[in-house]
Amino acid sequence: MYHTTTWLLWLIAALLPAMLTRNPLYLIILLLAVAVAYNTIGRLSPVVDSWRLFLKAGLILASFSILFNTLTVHYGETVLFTLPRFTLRIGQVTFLDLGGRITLEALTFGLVSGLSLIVILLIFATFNVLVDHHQLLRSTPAFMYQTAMIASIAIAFVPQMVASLQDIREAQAIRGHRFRGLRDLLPLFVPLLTSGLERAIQLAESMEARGFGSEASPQTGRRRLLHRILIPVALFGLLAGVFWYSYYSSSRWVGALVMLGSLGTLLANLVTIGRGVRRSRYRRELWRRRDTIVSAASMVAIVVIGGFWLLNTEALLFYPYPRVSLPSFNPLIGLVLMATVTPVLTAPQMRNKTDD
Amino acid sequence: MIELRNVTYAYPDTHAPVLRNLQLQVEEGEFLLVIGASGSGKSTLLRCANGLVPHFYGGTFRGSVCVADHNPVREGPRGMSAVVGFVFQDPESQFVVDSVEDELAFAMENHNLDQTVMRKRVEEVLDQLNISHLRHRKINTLSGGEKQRVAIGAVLTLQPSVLVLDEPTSQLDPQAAEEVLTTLQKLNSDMGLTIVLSEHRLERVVQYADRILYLPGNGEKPLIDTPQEVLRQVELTPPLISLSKELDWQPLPLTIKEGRRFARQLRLPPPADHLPGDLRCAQGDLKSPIINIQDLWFSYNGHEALRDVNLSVMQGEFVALMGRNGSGKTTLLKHVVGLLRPGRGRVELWGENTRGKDTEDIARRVGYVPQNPSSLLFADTLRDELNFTRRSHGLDTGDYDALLRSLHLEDHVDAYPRDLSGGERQRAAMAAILVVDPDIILLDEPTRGLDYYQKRALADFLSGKQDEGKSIIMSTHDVELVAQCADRVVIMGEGQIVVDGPARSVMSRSMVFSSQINKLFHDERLLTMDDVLLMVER
Repeated sequence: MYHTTTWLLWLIAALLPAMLTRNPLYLIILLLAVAVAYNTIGRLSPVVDSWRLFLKAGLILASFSILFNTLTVHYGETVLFTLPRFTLRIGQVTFLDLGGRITLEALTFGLVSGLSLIVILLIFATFNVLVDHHQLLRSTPAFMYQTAMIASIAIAFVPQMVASLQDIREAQAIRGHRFRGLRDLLPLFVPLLTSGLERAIQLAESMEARGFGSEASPQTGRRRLLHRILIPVALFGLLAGVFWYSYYSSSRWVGALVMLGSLGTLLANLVTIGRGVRRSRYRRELWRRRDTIVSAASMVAIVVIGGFWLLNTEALLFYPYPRVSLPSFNPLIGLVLMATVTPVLTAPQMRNKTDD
Repeated sequence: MIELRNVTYAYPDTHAPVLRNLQLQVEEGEFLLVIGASGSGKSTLLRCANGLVPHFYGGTFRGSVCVADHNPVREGPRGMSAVVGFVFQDPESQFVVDSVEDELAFAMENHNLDQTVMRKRVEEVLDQLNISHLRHRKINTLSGGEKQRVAIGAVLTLQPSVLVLDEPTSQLDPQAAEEVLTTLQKLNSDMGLTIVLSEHRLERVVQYADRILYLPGNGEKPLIDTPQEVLRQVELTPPLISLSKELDWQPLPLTIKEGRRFARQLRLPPPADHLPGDLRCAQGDLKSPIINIQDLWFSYNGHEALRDVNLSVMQGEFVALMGRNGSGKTTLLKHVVGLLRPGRGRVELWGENTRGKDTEDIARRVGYVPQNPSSLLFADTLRDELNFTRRSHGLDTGDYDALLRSLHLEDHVDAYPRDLSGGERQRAAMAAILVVDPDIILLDEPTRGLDYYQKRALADFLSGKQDEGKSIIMSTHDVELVAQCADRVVIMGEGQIVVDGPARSVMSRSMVFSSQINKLFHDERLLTMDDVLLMVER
């Protein structure tokens, strides 16, 4: 329905605020927007059931966060009630400190953290439902096409393995095989492994007979050596840059510069490798006007949220300690968060299911 | 188009070469059929055409190969992929991506073709193979025949000069095989595509071939000539050809249509005699049934796989279970051995309901040989494999000479079971099940991928078991095998038993279930070659 790139931008536009803000008002807006997107577009997807799984996982994680925070954090001025205290201490170190003062602030903090966990999981769930996985794998950059191919073959392998395990179990049951201990795993495991290997060999043969692998560029030895040296160097530089940036706050610009330089080298390397891959693509996704609209909205959201984070971090934060107060609300941020609903607004009529 | 000169090849770590000093020349536009027993080097020969031998397998290669002015030995399978389209045996494991259209494009993407070219060729291939209705389907939802046609399409998009197919129909049921072979015939006659095909089912394909190459195996000198000439010299052939050779019909008829001309002239006694096959059935009826299935219903995932099935089998009876794929044959067999439990109704063995009994206990007296022998074999040697079954059933291990000899496996008792050829593996799996000497033998599609030799060996073995008083139920698509050894035929359709009767009456004058000989004579008394020869002598 939308271009894969559009969905990727949408994912970033939704995830960025979900990770940066702790303000419950913004989180609730985001939650509603994502839920609307799922409800109107996502329901048409074949993997729609996975959403519920994500939601369940989110709720479980959130309840842990709430319980743990309320019971173990004793800061905050608004005491709700007091429970008997239980501490586990070994020597000087306290391992567990349960009960005691139960404060409204700790409860609030737990609630907000739980909420942000749920929102993040739901964003992934919705993305998972909306995007076409094989299309996503196909749109990996050229230098990674072999990795993407392996991933998509692996996805196809799993259901086949499950089916053959079922066959094997039945076949061994007929021979009177009963499962009593680890030793009895062998009659199940060996046929599974060998039939998987046989299948893999045949697949390899079939791929080779259709020219797979001939696209690897006939790079000169020196070029390849250069790539092999430059990529690890760039990765190391990136790491060093991050390190410098975080630990030498007086000269952060050095760290930022090293990061940027390394990142540039890395990208340049990958692009040249990708150029060398002589392989064309059959699928060309259509970029429609609605893709432009959704992508533009997502870009605006990313820029605005990113700008706030860099220039005015307080606007995004909400900290209930020492005394809980109402969270602030910036209308611009609220508006920008609504960008995550644009796919719903520009989507074609729902009845028109054949439209892709 | 294809030229092999003095080709000698041995796989790594083997002494005897599979191919010895082979000479072969294939003209452009020719349809060459490659036949020979399993292990005679058919697959190896075909793989020489695109360089998979020796590039993918290693080993020692001597001689020269030339395909459409390319040298596969030098260019390797990747380089040859645009010249030779290669289709493999197993429809399950040669697909790379998930959807039909992408699979068709895969080879072109590897060759870095322009997108507009790719679109045009995909459309062309979809139309040429009549598979445009499949274009948006996922590969795993296709039937076997559809998969093989997509596999053919996936290599045709590169517009190869030669199409090479390694037993493309051996894993398919007759209808699906027909689909694939008709497609090939059309490609050959409409487009002049050179086709090299190895195949077991001669009766379906022999009339399309221009020439036949027969590989006797063991490095003996191969035979290449017109179909008539080769079939005259080869020992095991389809029933029509065998009968024609016995009765010395000239020129050798290749199709039923041609054979009918000779059959009409044959003087046969009028149909008054007692039918030999019915005698056995009449004997069976006197005893009480050892398998008794009543009102059996079974469904999974809301799909009714068995609907009100009633079946009883006597001791010593040989029942063939036939019908389309998905008609419930396997489901029925699994109910007898207790792998599946009735949704409704009952399954009785020796008068006792199997409800509440363990599969492992039932399996002590009921041997079920599953379709895929690979799901069974795991041990280091065949002997260990048999010992495992005996021990699992709480029996002593013994020596298995008699059993293995009857299955022609006596030389392989210490072999690693997975190194055996397809047919040997099938028999090894059978040995591993039958080593506890069960009274009921259930076979699920035992002839898949077997050649004529192996089928005959299987028929002999099963007849021997029947003479020992075992009851046999065999699910199969193989009409000729059924004509040879079954007393009774049960045909299933959509989970129900459609026909249940003596083999002779069920198998004559049927469009699908008649044997070749029966189609030739339209006579209920004649199902196999032996029937005819007996009557002619009289």
